[in-house]
Amino acid sequence: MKRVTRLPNASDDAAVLNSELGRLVELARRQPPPPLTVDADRIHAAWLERRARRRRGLGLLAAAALVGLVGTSVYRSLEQHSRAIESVESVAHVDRALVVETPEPPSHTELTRAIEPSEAVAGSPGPQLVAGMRVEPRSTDAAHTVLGPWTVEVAAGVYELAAPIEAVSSLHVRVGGRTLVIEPGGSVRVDTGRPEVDLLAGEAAWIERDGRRVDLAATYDDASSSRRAAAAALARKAERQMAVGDRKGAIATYRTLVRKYPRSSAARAGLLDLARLLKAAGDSDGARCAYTVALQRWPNNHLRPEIERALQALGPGPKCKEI
Amino acid sequence: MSVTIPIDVSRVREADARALLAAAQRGEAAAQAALFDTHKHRVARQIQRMIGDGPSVDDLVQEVFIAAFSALPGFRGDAQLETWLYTIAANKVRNWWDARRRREAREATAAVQPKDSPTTPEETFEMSEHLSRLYQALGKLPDKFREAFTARAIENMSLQEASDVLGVPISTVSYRTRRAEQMLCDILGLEGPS
Repeated sequence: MKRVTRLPNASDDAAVLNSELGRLVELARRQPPPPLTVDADRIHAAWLERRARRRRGLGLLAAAALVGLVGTSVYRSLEQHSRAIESVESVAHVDRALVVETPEPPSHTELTRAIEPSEAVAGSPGPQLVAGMRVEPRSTDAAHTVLGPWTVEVAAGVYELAAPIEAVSSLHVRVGGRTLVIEPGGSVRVDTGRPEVDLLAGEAAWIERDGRRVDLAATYDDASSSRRAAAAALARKAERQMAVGDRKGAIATYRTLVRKYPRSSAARAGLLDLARLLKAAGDSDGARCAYTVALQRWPNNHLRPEIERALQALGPGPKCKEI
Repeated sequence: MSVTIPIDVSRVREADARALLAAAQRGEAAAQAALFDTHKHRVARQIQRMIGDGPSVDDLVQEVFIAAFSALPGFRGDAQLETWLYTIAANKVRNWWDARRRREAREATAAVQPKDSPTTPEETFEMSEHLSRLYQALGKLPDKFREAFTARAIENMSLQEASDVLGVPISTVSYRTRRAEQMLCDILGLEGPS
């Protein structure tokens, strides 16, 4: 029998089980601190420059908007009397200037995976998808364009798309002005005639125009009972609510989950997330209750040491009456 | 008769911290410098553990703090500043890994190679080789799995702490860490975890 040496961690639930990998991780932990040459003055100067650039950009935008208004009214008056090709071109130029490229929010980076021409295979007719990425048309009007090794644009029709589990990057699908990111192991069904897409396996998410990431809820049948599926759906709903910052909504959803489906596997994880959210919301008694119930229902939970430490940190409190 | 009025030191410190933050949010150079000095070493260590590439840490630390000071007016204080900085660092590191993968794809060379170091002690060279293998493998993981593994295994965060900084449920952190370990074992040719 293979002996596994666990890498000690703060709890019994070690982060690394493989002893060889654990030794590499230990080396990474013990790296000597890096020398730092950057200083506060340089950072402040760079921050001032960035702020000035943004203000200039806003100023140009305001000027462009003004020119656009003037240009549009000139064009309209000229159009009534004669055809002015130059005015049309100037209005079109201003219209393009009005398309704002908002600065990329610091919290999201996946839109930066722009396709670079140099990534195309030399001598090939155009960009090609990385091997293993699946883009399968399912309707006669299907039309798509490969934009790069990991990016495809679906213009029309029905498609099933998938990224293999061993892929080093997710598959990006541009549909209707938005981007759908399919994680390795995930697959989706896209129908350009419908706003919704179906998550068939794994994970995928929409990247909205403002950079927000909205995870897709699974619609696939995982061969479990309808109750288990319903519990899982509630868990995913709560996760989506958390993702958009709706803490109150997530707490309510988790409460519903653990009450309606108390013994489900979704409730087992959901109780811990509920406890965490309640603690963040300042409800220590509620958090204590959720942790206590988790231990009562699943006494052999592998997270038991973590839960006990969390209870200790919360300190004593009133007896738990209900979640 | 003299009366001693007890001072709640923690409250005084908290008030100082809030005032410093407010000044930094207004763009005051001294306040920004104070925040930078307070957090720079921790952020640098975290970045180093995320990427394993010493020379790039300096640039990334600068990028993190410039981004942080730009976004500071929107910081509401509902999370710890350390957690917030970690999130910014993780996003900058994500960009760094993206750029490195594209560069490697173009150049088809290993990004981290020991420079000619004939005088490097054998032990240091071996450590550098091992670290290089680990970070090459980490670079092949999808971002979410790499970030979960880095936070849990290398930063040694608890599940709760990792959940807070990554902004995902505990169960997700646990799942992603395990998957990352499986993938790393496959890439490195190690016998997988039991």
